[in-house]
Amino acid sequence: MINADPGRVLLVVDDEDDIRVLLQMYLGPAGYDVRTANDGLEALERLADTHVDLMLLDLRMPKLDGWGVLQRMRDDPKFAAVPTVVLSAHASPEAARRALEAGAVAFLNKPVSQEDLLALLAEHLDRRDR
Amino acid sequence: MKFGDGRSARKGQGQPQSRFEAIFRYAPDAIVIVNADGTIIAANDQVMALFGHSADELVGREVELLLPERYRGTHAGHREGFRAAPRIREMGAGAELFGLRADGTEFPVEISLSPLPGEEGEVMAAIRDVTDRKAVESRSQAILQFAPDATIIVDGTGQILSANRQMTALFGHSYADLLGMQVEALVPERFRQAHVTHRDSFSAAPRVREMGAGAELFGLRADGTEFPVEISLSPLPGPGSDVMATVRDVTDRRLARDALKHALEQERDAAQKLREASRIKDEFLDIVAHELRTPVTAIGGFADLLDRQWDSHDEPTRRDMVARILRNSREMSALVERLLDMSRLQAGRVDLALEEVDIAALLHAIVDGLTVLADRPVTIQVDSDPMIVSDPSALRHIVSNFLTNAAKFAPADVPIEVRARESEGGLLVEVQDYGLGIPAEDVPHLFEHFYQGDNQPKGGRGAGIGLSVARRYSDLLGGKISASSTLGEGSLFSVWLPRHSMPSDGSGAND
Repeated sequence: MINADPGRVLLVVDDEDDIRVLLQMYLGPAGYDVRTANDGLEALERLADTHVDLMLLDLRMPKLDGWGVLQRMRDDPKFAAVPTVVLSAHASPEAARRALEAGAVAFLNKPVSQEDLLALLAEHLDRRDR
Repeated sequence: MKFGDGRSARKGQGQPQSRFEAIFRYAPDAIVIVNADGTIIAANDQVMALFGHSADELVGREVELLLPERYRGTHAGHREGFRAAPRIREMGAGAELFGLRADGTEFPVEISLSPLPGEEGEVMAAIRDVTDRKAVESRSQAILQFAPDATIIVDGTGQILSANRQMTALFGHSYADLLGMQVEALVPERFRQAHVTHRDSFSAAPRVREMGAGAELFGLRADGTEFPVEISLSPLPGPGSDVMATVRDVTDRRLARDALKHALEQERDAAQKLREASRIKDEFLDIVAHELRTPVTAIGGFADLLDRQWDSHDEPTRRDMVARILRNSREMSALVERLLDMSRLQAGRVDLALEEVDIAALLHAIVDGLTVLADRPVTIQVDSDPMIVSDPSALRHIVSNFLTNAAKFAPADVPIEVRARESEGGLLVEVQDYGLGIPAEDVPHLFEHFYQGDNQPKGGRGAGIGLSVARRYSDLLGGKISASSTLGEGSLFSVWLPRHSMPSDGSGAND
């Protein structure tokens, strides 16, 4: 397992309880401080009141979906700095392209393995530090 | 000028005694002079040639001698009328006039009348044999009558002057009705105003042309029915700005054209439907893939963690992970079941198993059997004879789809209401929730395949299959499925069931 710097704050945004719990189990033991949000509106609340180093964002969600979150982040400079990895069951290359255009730093398909996810997060958080 | 004695004419071959007599004698037209009593007092050589009478036979005789017997009585009357108000004019304007030869034959004539100056009331009549012209006219008339197309002649004011038999047949008006009729009477009411305007502008610049090029023209029959026509216009020579209009009934051609257009449209619709079906299939596969990936992620993820990190997790955590794996695999098999249901229904491989069903007992069994309703308040109310003849398995599909939906949308603490009541000779089963509700624009599409509204909770689990399957089962049972919803207040799903469902032919699909 790749170990992360302790205390890095990750925000996991997904409407499925199973996915939130799974990602916590993937990421918590690696040393990340994992926070969760159940939908897009909650995600924006967390971003506003918590320092977040990186966000893992689902696309299909009630109230405000992942596209809406990406849009609001682009419109609001105080969120713009948070790197966002989209983690979606939408497999189409079209969705991936759109997500990157909308400001995501990476696009991952569900299902994703713990190993792949940790490697990708390390890369993006590391890159951010330089 | 006076030809009082008339002797020169009578002498015939003799030399004219004055310049005026010469004009009288050699005028190109036959001329007779008649006194107030209607007695011929002079006639020139052309009269003799025309009628075959010698001057002796004419002078001193009543002018009616020159008319066929049948006109003589009225002629005398007209003569009196003319004497009362003499002026230069055509005789019998518009009427057909005939002369009578000495040999008893008749011929068509035109006659001009001029009163001669003086107190005597003498009248000069110039008579022209119009046999040739009448022949031409009757040939024109024949052409008009036997022309293959309905034809009318209309004057500058829109009055019909003539019409052929095809015209009377086409419009159902008698010839007598058509004559003098305003041509606008042959046009449907709504076009009449415009027709008057068009007619005026045609009169201003007449030329042979199609009427209303490119426009759809309609004729109006005597019985009030309309039919599509094409009309050609030809201005007729002469001072009257008369127009000849040829009218063709194009009903058959329009029908053929419409049929062709319809066929093309159908072909286009079919192509469109095919594209749409293909698009829906792509979308459906995308949705199903999405729906399967989510439980697969959970199952694979938790299983992988248990496999690799068994010892890192305590017993309760491991149990929780296993429970999650089981729940997600159940969800997956439910989805697969729904896909199979739908596939079977679409292929028409479903046979109803009809039996006596106690709807109250069935509703309780369905509610008790649904895990999504495990910790939720549900009320069941049956205000009707609970016994119907139906397929319990199909009913179970329909009602559990309603309930599963209600459970997704409704808050956990507000009861979902299940009701059954008498309606229109059958049984109406309703499932009411007081949840999020469905946007009005989505409601009409709820029972379409794969339809997913934007307002679905939990990221829209369900792949849009359940309600379309429910509708197909309802169709099989001879029932009627419907939904209504108010955003923010909740939704009402209902199915009306006949008291006795009929065995289906297994075709299932009604679209």
